Amino acid sequence: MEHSTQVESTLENLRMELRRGTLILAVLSDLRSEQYGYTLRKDLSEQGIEIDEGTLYPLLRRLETQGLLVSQWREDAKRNKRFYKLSESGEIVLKQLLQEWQNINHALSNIIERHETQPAEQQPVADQS
Amino acid sequence: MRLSPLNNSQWLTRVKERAMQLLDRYLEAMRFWLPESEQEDILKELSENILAQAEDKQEELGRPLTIEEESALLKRHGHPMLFGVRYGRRLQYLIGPVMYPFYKLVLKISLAILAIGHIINAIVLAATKHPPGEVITSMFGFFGAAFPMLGWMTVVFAILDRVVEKYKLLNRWTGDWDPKTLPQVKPRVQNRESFWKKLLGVCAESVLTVWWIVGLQRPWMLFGPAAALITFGPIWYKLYPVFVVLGITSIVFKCFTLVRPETATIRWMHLAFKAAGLAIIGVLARTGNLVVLANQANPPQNATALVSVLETCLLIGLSIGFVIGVVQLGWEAFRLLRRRPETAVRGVSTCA
Repeated sequence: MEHSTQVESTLENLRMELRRGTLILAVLSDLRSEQYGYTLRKDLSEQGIEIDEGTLYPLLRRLETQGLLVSQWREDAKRNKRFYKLSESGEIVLKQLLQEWQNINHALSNIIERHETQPAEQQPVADQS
Repeated sequence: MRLSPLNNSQWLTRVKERAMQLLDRYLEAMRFWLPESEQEDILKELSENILAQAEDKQEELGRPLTIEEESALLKRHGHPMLFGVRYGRRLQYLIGPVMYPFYKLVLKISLAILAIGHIINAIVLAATKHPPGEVITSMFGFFGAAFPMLGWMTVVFAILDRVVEKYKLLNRWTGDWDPKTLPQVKPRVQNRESFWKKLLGVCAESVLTVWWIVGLQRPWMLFGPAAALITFGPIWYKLYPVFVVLGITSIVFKCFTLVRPETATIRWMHLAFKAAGLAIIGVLARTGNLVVLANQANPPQNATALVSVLETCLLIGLSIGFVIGVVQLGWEAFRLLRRRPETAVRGVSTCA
């Protein structure tokens, strides 16, 4: 019971780590068209990327500080909202990140595929000592 | 539940009015945790996002949100403190991961020096026949000095940490490092004791040393009520300066090993102290006359017999202790001589 809880907790931590980098990629990609915080979150959710507000809103600020996003207050539906959009340097960075992502994805697929097709060949040798 | 038909504008008004009460409280609770320069901007943005979300939910349900639903919506965002701290520019810590090992090392050395100073002072006071209360006060004075020192050292290192980060000193220092300039690996002995175990050992030894040195001057501290009948023989007083010197050097050495890795040299020095202790035991056992009558002119009844029994017991005890000590010493010396220095590189060699 305790062991299974520990495994679940480890899995959750690893899942979070795995998602952390990809969330930035998703946010930058989605902000190629201008959006404000709530609609961005809704849009990502509709695309299958769940991100809680406590992560997304501070992330937008951080990406803006890093110069990857630009923002402006503008009226929409009779209310002022802060709209974010990918900056020029953000576009360059996104392009490179997407290339990196594709490389990783390709390499990872190859590794997984290779082990799936030759499962028995790579068994570790038992310690004879 | 009967729903009252509301037009879009009324919905918005009601959502805004009701949500504002909870929302305002939520945002106000968050304010403290936000970076000061951006507080208003972040809270305004967050307020608009939450209101937009509330409106969406309202439209989806076709009715105004209940207070529970509004509360649930805010709860989804998380605790205001946890939400707010995520806007922090940097990880908040007093002493960062780079400075912390230096801080720990300097703190250990300073505490060791402070402890040595207080112990030596206590031993000197005891040896010069100051009252026991003064000796104990001197030893406990360590804590009075240690806490302010800890505070000041923390402040100094916290400032140093900020300076190193602000001026990017770490990048300058590590920018052109060369693996060839790294220090050689010194052989280490395995099974090292933990720092706290060693510290406990030093404290216990210090208390025992002080008690022993004071006790020799005031036999009632060691014999209790029997001090009215018996006292130490002359050999103990002849060896008194040796006890004091050996006690002080042993404690200083132990404090030194608190902050130094346990190398083979240090193990040999430990053995040297044990050998000195055994030599003293040997001299005591050989000389005899360890316990004498306190009042030799007019000894109480049966006191001579008591002294005789104690003398025999002490001589047997010291002789057995001496033999066991010599065997132990020989065994430890043998193990040290046989032990090969630990090699530095344990991984697979990359050299062809």
